Amino acid sequence: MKKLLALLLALAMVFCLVACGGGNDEEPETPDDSQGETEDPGTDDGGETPAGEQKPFKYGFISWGTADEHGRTLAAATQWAVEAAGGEFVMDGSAVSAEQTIAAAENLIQGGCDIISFCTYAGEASVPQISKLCQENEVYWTMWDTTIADESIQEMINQDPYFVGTANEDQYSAGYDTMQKMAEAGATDVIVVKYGVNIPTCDDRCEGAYDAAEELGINMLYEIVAPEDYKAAMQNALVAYPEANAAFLAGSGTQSTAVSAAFEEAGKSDYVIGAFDYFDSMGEMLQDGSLKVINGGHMVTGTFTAVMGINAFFGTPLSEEKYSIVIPYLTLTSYEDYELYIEYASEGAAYTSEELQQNCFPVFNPDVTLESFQEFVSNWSIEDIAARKGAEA
Amino acid sequence: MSTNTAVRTKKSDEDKKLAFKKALSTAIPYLGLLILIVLFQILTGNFLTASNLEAIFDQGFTLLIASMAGVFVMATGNLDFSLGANAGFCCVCATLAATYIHPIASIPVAIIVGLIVGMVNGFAQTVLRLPSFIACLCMMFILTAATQSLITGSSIMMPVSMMFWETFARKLIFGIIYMAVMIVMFKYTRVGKELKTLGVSPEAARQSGVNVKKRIFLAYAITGLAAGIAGFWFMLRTGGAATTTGQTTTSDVIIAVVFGGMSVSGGASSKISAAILGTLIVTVLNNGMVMAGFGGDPQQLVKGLLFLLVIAVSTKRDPNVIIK
Repeated sequence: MKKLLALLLALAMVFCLVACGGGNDEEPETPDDSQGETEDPGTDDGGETPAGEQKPFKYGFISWGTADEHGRTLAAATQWAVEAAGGEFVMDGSAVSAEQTIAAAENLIQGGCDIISFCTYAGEASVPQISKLCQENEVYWTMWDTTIADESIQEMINQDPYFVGTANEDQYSAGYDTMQKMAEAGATDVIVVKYGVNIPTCDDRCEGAYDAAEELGINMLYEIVAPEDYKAAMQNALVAYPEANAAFLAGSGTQSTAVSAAFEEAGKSDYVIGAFDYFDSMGEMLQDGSLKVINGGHMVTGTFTAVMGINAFFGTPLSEEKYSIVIPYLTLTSYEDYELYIEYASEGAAYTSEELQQNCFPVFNPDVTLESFQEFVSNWSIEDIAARKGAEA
Repeated sequence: MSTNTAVRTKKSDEDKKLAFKKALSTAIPYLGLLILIVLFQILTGNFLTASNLEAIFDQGFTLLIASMAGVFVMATGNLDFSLGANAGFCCVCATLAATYIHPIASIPVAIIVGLIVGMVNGFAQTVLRLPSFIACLCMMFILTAATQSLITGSSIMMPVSMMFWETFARKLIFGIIYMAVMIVMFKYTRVGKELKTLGVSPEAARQSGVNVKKRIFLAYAITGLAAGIAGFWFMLRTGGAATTTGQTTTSDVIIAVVFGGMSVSGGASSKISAAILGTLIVTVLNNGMVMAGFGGDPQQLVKGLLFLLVIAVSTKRDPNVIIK
């Protein structure tokens, strides 16, 4: 009986979906009319959609979750921007694979989101599918922490009227600057630790670091790739290269503690660690000097991609073309830097609502342009936070 | 006389308790699904719209394929830990075949690769006599490494012309045929019955005339074949293959089948309907929670608690180990 029931249930779903499929096909696709249709009944006569209007919206944010520092602050920083513009923030934190990213986009769109954002953490092949989905449902979309490498995908999404643009970090420069700072701290013989294979973000950071090392005459001794046990891998590397006095971690900053322990156990006290991605105990390590440089704070990619999508939804896009913005890392080199970060930026609220409104949204400040927005973005640094918060205090 | 009556009454009470418990464990998945649908409709107001039901169908499609096949192995009391990695690897092979040979080539390539992997799993257990857990785990590592080495970067893309292959009608027709085949094979042929017997006791099954090796080999071959099919549909859905493709499929299959009311220890209570029902529950839960605005941390918490509850109700409390 129960098996029959299961079959009937499946058939019911099937019949139900047949009806669904038929109904959906009849919906016309008129992307450019979307804002007028949903928000302004007065434009039913075929008139123009009013431009520059702040209106209620739902913002869908897709990520891998909030269990780690970056995921947590990213969601908070995005929510901050959405709420500053008067919107409702909805999140799907289950997207750890391409199929889950697509499912998340579907679910958020079905949940009534007007704008969605995601990153190509699980690969960029799914981007055209999400583009198709957004066009069918007239939903604006942006990507954070993302640079599209495949030209055919870029070409395809450039034709999508609902794609706004991307925000990402300059990985090469960050790698280069980190190595420079490590050199200033005394690094001369470096072991590089890569957190993965064929990951463009990781590779770009390392490329910058290698170029800086070459210019500064630093010896790049050995490369550890995707270790399961960072401490053991580092211990082995230190046995092979006892002259090593520094480690460059291209990601997974939380493993700095394991790398530091390996140096300590090898009897070294004056070593230099430069790393990417903030982690919970970085304050202690910056204070005791075991960590010299840590890059992070790129949760603002969420903030600024939200700004890009929201402006498009409001009818005040910062550019008629698709555009990308580059966000600098928040580089901490001292415990004082860390204290500033914790006090003012660690919960996502690095900017006040008013700062965001006045610098990012033309509906609140008509003087905002793409150039002024990019300048605002590029100011992101510990010094900028100190200046803004200090002035307020 | 009175002692006999007391014994009969006690036995009757025990029978009633057992019957109630059985009815409860059978009814819970159906009730759970119904409650979820009603709850999400109330919370969102637009859960039962045509477009959302289509989204649920799209999201559950590959899981349905994988979990229905997964039941064949789970019925024997084993788990195919390489199912997800196999689907991911088949997806990569299909994408490469579509790119470098011809789009049509992706179909046989995915199916054949999946089938071969499944047969190797079966061979490892029946001929080499490796424990299921170890054989599948090793296969998972091998396939994951192969997938990563075949993908340069984080993903590879299928030809753009294939983007329109994945239509609702095609998926629907395929889904109906696939479900019909799997249901008939598991419910109405000797294969399903003998696999369930194996789950109860391989020795008893052998003494009853079941060709144990042949059946186990067949179960893994079916799962491998389904992984190939799932891999092909993964490719169409995600536009290619990524290093993460299929990464969560194995755990999703286990969760779905358990949510559907089947014990992970397999045996007589194994039912193919558990895969259909469980896939629906998992997909409805994922979709509804995001639609209702609980897509962050609460999503994982609720899923975890529900899973624990279902396991608590459906698991047999006997000395049998879960993984043999």
